[in-house]
Amino acid sequence: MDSFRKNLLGLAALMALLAVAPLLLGNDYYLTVLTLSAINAIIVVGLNLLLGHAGQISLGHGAFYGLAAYTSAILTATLGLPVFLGGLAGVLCAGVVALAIGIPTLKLHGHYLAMATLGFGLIVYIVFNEAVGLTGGPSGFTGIPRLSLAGMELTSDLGYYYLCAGCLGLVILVALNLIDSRTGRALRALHTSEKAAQAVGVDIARYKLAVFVLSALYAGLAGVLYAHYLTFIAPASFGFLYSVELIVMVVLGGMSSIFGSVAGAFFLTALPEFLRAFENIEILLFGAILIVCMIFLPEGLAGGVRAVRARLFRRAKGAGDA
Amino acid sequence: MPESTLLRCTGLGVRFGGVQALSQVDFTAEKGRITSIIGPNGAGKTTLLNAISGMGPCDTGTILCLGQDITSAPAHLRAKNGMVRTFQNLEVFSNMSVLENVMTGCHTFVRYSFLDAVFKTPRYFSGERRVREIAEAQLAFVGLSDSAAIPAAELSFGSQRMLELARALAADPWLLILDEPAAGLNMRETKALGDLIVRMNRELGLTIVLVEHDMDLIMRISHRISVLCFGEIIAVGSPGEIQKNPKVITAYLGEDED
Repeated sequence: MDSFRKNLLGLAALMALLAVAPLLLGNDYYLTVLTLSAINAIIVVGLNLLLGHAGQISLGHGAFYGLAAYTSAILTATLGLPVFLGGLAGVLCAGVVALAIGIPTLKLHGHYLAMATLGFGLIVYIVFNEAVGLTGGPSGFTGIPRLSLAGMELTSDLGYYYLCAGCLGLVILVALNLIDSRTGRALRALHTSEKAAQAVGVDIARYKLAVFVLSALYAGLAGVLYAHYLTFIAPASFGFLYSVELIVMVVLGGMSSIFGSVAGAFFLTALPEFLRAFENIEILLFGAILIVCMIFLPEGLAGGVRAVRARLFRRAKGAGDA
Repeated sequence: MPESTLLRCTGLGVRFGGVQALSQVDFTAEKGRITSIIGPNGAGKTTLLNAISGMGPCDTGTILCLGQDITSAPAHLRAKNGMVRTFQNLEVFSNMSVLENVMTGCHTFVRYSFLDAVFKTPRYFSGERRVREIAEAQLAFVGLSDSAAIPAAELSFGSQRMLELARALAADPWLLILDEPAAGLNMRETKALGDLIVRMNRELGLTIVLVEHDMDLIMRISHRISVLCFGEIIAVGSPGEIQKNPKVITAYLGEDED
């Protein structure tokens, strides 16, 4: 299948880029930025399936991310479970909560769905802050163990980065394979017309729930990777602003492109770090760059790349004709 | 109920607030026939189709399909069991190619699991190949083969209508419900649509329920016609009988002053 080969090629190129990036940027600080970018990208790939393909918005994905991070942190640091088990429980916790939340909320549409997921995100955020005995409250949760694989603790930052990049590659592959299947077509169908999707037999409630849970599992995986990378988490990382930031990453990257979303995640995670140099006007510049992007790239980074490629192709063809 | 009756609705009633959109509507569709529903604007035709296809409310009455009571079955299950409809306002999937639109039609009967898709198992590839073949055949049937690869949103209005038909056909229906398929088409396109509906009926053996305003089309292709007026069935008969029915003439043209 043609599109499958194209997807694999794209993924291979991305993985090669991610593999050499830390070698080119030889600096611990850049490595941290890259790792956090990869973690964000994992959530954004899930959100892209939910928002870009199935057309369902969620302003609560920061909460799934946080739930998994805290679950894994509590199980491993407080209860002393192996990190592998804690992480698995964290991811599952995000999925189960998404299932419970999704059944009532996914009956809502548009702004109402946004409101419901926003409310859910805020409630979870408040719980993180107030359940001091469990979460450490606003001052955060410390002493989370580093991830260990087969008894070996993953101490090197470079190793951890490659683990995150590998996870990112896997979730991208799953997402791409899914889009190009009957499941993906059903999701895209209910995005444009729920009526027509039903008319050809798509159980829209089930598909909405499934993609919601899948995107929450992605967020959960990212949350676990995050908690065991920084070994310290605080509620502020999982709040409403973070959920919005994730949406911005999807939109800026390009709603209908998985690779675009990944680019959006890396761009928006790295951008504030590079803008630090401008101290006082940092936020101002950040906003201005976003506005410029949305004016000149209304279809996101992916749309911009497509437009450039189309222009080059035309020019090449024109030169060939002449 | 006789073997030949595919769909039988009895005593259907739908109320929207203070408006009784349908009251005590009886409607049957015979197997292998083209049954049309006509009526002035606001007569309740689309409300009836929505009730039949499960996309709208149905307050009273029963809907039997091949003897099975489907009154409370959700829309997607009715579609899965072979009752497929199209829409008055175009509902093509604008975020897909023409071919993918039709491939989506095969959703219920070319099945492979989520995991088959993720791991690209042989079942996925054979399923996709079959879906593609079916979709290409249906596109050829409606004459859209040349447009398979282009985005559905770029098709002309008339072609989008044909695309909807191809998608419905790909769902392998035995009952096809068409809600004003000729709306917005020019005369030549309407003629071609009529021929296509007749072919679907004769060659594919489909039972068709048709709501339409274009009387030439209705009279040319229908076997039986039901006339709805203010939510009630006022006449049932062959095209010849309906054209002569005084009640129908009154409903469309109004009563004499004196």
